[in-house]
Amino acid sequence: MLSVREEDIDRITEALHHLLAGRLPDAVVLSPDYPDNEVKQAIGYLNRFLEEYRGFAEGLAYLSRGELGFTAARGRSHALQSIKNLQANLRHLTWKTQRIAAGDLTQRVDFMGDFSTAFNQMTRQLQESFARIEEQNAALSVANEEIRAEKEKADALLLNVLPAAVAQDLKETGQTTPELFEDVTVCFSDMVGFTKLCSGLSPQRLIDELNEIFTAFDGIIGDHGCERIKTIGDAYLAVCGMPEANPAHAERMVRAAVAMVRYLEERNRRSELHWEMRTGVHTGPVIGGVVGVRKYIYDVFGDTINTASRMESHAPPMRVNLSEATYLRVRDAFAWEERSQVEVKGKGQMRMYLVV
Amino acid sequence: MFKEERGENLFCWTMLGNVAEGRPNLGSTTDVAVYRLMQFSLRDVLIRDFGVETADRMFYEAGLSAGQHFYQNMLTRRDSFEEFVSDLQRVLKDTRVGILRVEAADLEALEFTLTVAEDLDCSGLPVCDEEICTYDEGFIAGLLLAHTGKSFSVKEVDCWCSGDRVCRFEAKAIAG
Repeated sequence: MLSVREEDIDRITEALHHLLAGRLPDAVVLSPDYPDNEVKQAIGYLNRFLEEYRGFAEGLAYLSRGELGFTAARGRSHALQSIKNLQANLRHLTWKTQRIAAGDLTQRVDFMGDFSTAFNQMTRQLQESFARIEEQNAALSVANEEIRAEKEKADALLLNVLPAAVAQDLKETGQTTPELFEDVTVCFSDMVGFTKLCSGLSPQRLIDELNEIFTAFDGIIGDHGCERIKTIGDAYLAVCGMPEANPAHAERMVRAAVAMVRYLEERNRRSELHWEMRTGVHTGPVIGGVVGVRKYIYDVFGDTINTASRMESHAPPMRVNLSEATYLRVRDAFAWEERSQVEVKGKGQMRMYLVV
Repeated sequence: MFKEERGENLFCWTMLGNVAEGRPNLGSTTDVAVYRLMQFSLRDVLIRDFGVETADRMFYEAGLSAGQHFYQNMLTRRDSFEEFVSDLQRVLKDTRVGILRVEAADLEALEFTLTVAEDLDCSGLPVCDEEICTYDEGFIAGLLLAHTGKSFSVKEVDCWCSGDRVCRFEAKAIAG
């Protein structure tokens, strides 16, 4: 006859009570001399169940916290098997997600029910979106290249009409302020007998001639650190010492003027059409600024410009005529021919010097 | 070809023949039970004549050779580990060998944890507290050897036969 002690029943009840109350009960320990009967067998099964339940509960707790690195308890119960499966699947999904994060959008998940459908839909859409973005980026890259090329053209055009420093100001701030430059040398040159020459030339030939000559002048001016301001018909106006100051402005401007005359002499030797020009140089204060809003022109103003123009009109052809102000700056750098004082309109008597 | 004496592996892919030509009506697939019939009857005889350890080694080495040939002849995307795994997953699924999943991959240490669900060799076998997929172990080692050029030790740590629902393999590159 099987006899069960009340205290053993109590211990089984206590373990089950703990289980249902949300605690993990310890195994029910029987004394070593406990008879080998059905009660001992039942308690043995209960303890195995409690052990598997503990493994299941602990595994589930890890998973609920998103911790996937735990060692899942072994056992054949569906509960433990499901925990292991879930852990394996979640670790696999984590690995897949890491691959996607690393840029592999071809990753797919199979045989995971609703999750596979959602995951694969997500990666497919990511792949499509990425492909679209790549296409847009490629188109944007082409557009950027076109914009860059257009900007380069615009910058080059701007530099044709504005000094580099002024163009930079205009690009960066959208405006420039007129500025007084106290010490600048101005060169004014004009073709001799231009009107008469014009009458014998076709407009195209005339433009071609001036274009070739002024392009050469632009090179000479640039090489000497001077700045071409503008051409007006057959007249050519250049400065040195603005917008960036240059202590050697007078000498540089005179050397440029002499080089322009030399160029024309050389050109006349090899060309059937002979040009002559007068060149005047004067040094003094100049106001510089951008004129216009839609069509920018950098221009220079002031009496120094007028005086340079007077020096030009009183210059013999193919000579460089300097005012006294310029002469005083460069007299040690060149050989001179002093002229008798000349009556200048609006100025009275002025000393002038020709570069020899 | 098939029955020459040999001191080294002579298997080549052409030994599998032209299945499409040879089985125009029955096709290229068969019942899993038939595959297992051959494997476990063969295992039975090998264990009888050579013992468990030798039989296991034979299955592992056969898998090792098969994995390398499988890699060369069945996989097409091998530029990176990710591409290799994706392609392998697809081919194993298409050929109904099993559902391969990667749980963890350390590409620097060359250590991988892989699972195979619905495994051709063992899923559904009676539970017997044994890891039975020695051929799979060798097969995975062969794949990894072919992909990385390094020898791997592959051990099945969970198996359907030992009571688990998926087979889990741990692969580690062998130093040197």
